[in-house]
Amino acid sequence: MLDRIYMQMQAMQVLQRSQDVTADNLANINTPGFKGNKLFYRMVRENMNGQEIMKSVPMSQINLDQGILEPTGNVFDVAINGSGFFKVEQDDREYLTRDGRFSLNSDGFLVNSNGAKVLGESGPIQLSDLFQKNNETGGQNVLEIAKDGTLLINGESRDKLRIVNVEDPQMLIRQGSAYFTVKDEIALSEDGIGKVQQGYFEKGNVQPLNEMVDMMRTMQTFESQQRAMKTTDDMLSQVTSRLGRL
Amino acid sequence: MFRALSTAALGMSAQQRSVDNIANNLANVGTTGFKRSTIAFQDLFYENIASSKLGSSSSRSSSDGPMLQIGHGSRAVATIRNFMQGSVAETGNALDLAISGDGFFQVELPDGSTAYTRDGNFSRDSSGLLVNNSGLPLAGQIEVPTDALAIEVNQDGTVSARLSDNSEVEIGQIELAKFANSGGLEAIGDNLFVETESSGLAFFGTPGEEGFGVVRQGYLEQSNVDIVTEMVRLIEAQRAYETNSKMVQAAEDMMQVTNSIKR
Repeated sequence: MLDRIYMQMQAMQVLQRSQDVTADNLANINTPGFKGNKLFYRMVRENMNGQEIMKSVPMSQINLDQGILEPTGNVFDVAINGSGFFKVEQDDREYLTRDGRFSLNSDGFLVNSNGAKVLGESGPIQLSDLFQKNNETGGQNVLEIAKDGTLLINGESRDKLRIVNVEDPQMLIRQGSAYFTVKDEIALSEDGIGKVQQGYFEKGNVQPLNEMVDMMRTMQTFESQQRAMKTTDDMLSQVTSRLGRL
Repeated sequence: MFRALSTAALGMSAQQRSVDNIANNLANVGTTGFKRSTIAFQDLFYENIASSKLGSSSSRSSSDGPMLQIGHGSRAVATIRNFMQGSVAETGNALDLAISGDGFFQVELPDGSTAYTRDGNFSRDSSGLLVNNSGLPLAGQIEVPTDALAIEVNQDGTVSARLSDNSEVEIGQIELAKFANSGGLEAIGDNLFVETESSGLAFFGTPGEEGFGVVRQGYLEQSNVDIVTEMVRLIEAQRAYETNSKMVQAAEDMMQVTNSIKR
């Protein structure tokens, strides 16, 4: 009997966690490049004091659906239409991100809003030319980013955005600040990368409707679980009081 | 305690920032040369919960990494300014100038440094200098002769005056400035921007050349705030705020349910 109340308690704890996940999704409805967390349960068979029991364990999976692309007109804003992640380097660590709102720092490096350097084919991308005048025309140098991520200055290829694909979302680990890492480098591939769009950014892909439904469902399950727990408690108290009368 | 509660609260405060920013954009819908901005959000760090902590003793190898990742909400990280051209309206005033295309007018700040603006609402001060409406002189110190009957500004920025004896004299040249990364400019109010490390140093040039816009006399550039876009953003922010407040409610309800386990 005490086993049961313990299991019911665990079920409620798990539901709390899933509400936390929904809360995080909702808090990030308007976060660019954000990928929603999908929660699902997995049944695991466990051996408890020689007794086989089934138990559901929550797992989160990153939902890699495309977010809506919104035009900004800023030359340093890039979005990937399709799969793929930009690679950036912060504090000597490499991260993957879908948030391509970049800018130039004072040294001419292409950086994101955290100041992390965006990586190209050979290390951080430096575009200090853009600060200087064009030698031939004396005008300003113009940056263009092609659909495959090639960076062109005045039509001349300079570098290429390093974009990698991760096909199995289970291999991704969130790091916050719109960053991801992979569990294993093997998961990275160069295939199936979408098109790079200059002058756009990707909005978050959280669907408020789905999240609200999840929220209500979790809420209701939590409540029924509590009722079940109460019933167990009642039974326990009856057992103890009746047994005591004997 | 419930993380959902604080996560939703953070979500609400981030959306509130967004509403504040939209309010500022909307308040400046009639401000000459105003450039709208948007707030950038980011997700916060994640807590990784291993399967063992969730009461599962099944032996999964540690290389599987965390099974459950729970985030802590979102935050506003930066303001991104949009330098798209605003619409140009005719005023008929000879000293109202608009830049059609790229570039900024330069005005001299009292401390001698230069500020940049798209607001071309100039006038003559008592000494005849061309100044903006805060009284800051246009760079190049263009002085209008006292006996000038009319002032003409060409598209290439040359300023000339017609004198009382009907002769025309060139009295100055307006130069424009441009930046590699105008998004990095810092707004200091009064429609002025100053350069920062990330905007890079200014390029100077003659209007109409090398990608600089042309100067149009008798026009003013309106704010580039688009009311419809702002309204849509407001709806977005407001609804997101609302959904997050629902989450606060749901978390509170769950806490109440928890409390009523034991009567």
